[in-house]
Amino acid sequence: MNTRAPFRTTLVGLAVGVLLALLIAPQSRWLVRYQLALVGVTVGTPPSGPSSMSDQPLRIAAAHPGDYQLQLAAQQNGDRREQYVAYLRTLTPRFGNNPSLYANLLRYEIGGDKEKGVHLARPEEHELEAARPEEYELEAGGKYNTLPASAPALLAAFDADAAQGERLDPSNAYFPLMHAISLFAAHRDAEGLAAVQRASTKPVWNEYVSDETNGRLRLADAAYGHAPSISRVAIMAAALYPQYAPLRAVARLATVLAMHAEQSGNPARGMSIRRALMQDGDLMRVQAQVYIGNLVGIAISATARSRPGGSEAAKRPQPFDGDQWARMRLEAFARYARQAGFPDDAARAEAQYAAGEAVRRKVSMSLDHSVFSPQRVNRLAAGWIGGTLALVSAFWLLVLGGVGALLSRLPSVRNRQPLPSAARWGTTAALALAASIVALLAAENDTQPSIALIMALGIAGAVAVSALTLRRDGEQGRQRLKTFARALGVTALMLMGLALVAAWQTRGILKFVQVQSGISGLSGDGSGGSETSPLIAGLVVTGIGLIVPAVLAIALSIRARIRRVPAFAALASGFRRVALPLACVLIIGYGAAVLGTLREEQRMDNGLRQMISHEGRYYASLAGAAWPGPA
Amino acid sequence: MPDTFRPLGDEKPKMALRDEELDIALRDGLRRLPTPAVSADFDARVLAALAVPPSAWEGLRIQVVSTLRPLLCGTACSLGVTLLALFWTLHMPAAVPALPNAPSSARPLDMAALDSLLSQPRLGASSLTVWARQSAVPIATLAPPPIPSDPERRPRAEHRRACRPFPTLLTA
Repeated sequence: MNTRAPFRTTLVGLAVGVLLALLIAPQSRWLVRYQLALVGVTVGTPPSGPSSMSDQPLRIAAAHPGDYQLQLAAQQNGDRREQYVAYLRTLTPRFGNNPSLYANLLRYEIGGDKEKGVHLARPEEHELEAARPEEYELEAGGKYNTLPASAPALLAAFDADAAQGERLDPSNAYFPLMHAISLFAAHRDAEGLAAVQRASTKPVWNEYVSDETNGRLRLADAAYGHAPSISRVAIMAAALYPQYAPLRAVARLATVLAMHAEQSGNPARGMSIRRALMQDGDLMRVQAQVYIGNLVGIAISATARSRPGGSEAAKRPQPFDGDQWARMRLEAFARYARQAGFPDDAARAEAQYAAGEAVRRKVSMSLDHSVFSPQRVNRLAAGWIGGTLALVSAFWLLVLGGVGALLSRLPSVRNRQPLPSAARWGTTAALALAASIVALLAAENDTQPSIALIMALGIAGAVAVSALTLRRDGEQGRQRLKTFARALGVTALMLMGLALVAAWQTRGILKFVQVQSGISGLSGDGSGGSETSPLIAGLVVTGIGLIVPAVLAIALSIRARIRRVPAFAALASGFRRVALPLACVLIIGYGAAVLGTLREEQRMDNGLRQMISHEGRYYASLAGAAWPGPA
Repeated sequence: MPDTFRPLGDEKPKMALRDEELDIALRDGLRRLPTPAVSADFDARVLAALAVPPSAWEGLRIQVVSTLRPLLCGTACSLGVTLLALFWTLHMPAAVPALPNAPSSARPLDMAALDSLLSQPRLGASSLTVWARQSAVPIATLAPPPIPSDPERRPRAEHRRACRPFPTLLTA
């Protein structure tokens, strides 16, 4: 009784069951469909139907005109900032009562080309660092006086957006502090200071940055289906925060004005400005949704403590590092504040410094474990690559197993006889011709006489010589020529069949690349699609898929050598017997890899959600620490 | 009349007796021979040989069933096990466990580093991670810098050097 047949059938059943289970469960179906698409197998509805991938987000957004987040994300922000600002203004009629629209407008109106964006860079900022007035004047006369002013129309639009945002969200400190940027840029310093102090009275800091990120993620899901976490990380990593540099400039200018007040004998006025700045910085440190915003808040509070009482600026002494220098400056400020009659401000500054230290030291150590860290991304990528490799290898094992089953019908294989020499010549000639055709296609853009062309000519010549050599007079010669031609034809047909299978697989890969390019476009880098050579893509994936069959072929050849069995017969029968069970084992292994990949995807998704909600708290949780509250 | 021409029924009784004895002995011997046991499937084989041979469709059905049975059993087993494993995998705690004392190659953000980070032209969500990767230091060198002692307790000369840039109200 043949016991192998039920065992093989059971193994096939196990593999089919694993695939079925992963396709039935919605949590894993999206991942398996993605990876099956790489093998050229489309299961169910493809992730997207239209031929042009880059139009899909626009279509989705057009179908949901009332969804603010989707509308926010429908256009790329990338390097075309002024175009994005113009697009955001078109949303005003529909979402004019949403403060988030104005928050994002303000963010993108900053920076860019000097003539087309709002920027703040005044030479007076550097009074804080210049050790002597002549140093400041030298720098001011050199590098910093060459900055052109922002266009008045841009400043006026910025003012209007900030005012409207403050009207719609009166408890949010973000709008008045951003307003201070345009006021200081227009040299309206008194109004700028008033905006800084107005911001310090607000209880909330909300930049509404999560609306844009959530919008892009939702748009990617709607347009392309559930995307791998790596793509979602890329979307999130592309978010830009141009507002922090001018906010720091606001802090420097306000501190300089405080210093001037103190130097002119009005320490109370100076301390009130510093107090407001420290309050704004502390609010950002606690409530900013992005971790860089928390760090900018720490920097703003530190800037507010600079040159207390108008003391002389100094560079950091050599033996002390940045932390020690910051500590010394804090102590100097606290000493000044207590001596000037502001003990509460001294205590608050020390508390803010301690909270800032906790954030800087402990929380920053968690950066290695964030969703952006190479370790996390590489682990996820390894799961995807391993699973895809297993699937592609199983696919090619099944194909080659079928070829082996067909070849096993030949008498020479059944009887374990070596191929006639004429048949060997025919097979070799067919393989060589195929290799030269592939090399010619790959070198099609090479205008110089290429090695591939020379190789092709040489191989064609060898084929012709071998055909002539095989030709002998009489019946024997004609028989050998027939055998040669038959082997050449059969091998060529088989290779063509394999090439068609590889082409079909490449179609799936190209579709996957198109989907990824579309998702990359949503991250705002402006690249709506990438040009991938189908031949190169097909060669790469086919090559990867043939690694396992190649190893099997080598093992079978060695075994044939040891047993003194003709290699051709051993390979054909070996693939017929071993390919199917090995493919089933690979599919079962693929199932285990999918579970690991899903687990990693879940972790990344969880991390992304937490980062979008409050990045600093996420890092604190990784470090096992609580997020420091207000000082 | 010679004996060879006499009819059979007229044989002498002595010959008939011998035949009967032989017959009895033969029967007796045959009776004593061991009887082979009947195999379990004897009846079935006999009946099968007498039965009508199955049609081609019936044969195909039998072959298909015999092939499908292990296939379906394997599929059902692995389907259930995979779904269970999937459920268990996705319902494990998803959060990355906190690593309060885990070594990290990230450089602590001192104020100078913070300043250089925040001065980048295109500050984005990934700027921190890129910066941390570029400034990674060996873990052994991550000892925190010593916090300077209370300046009031330091030697006077060192105290003057440290505090010179910040005149107080007493010296302004």
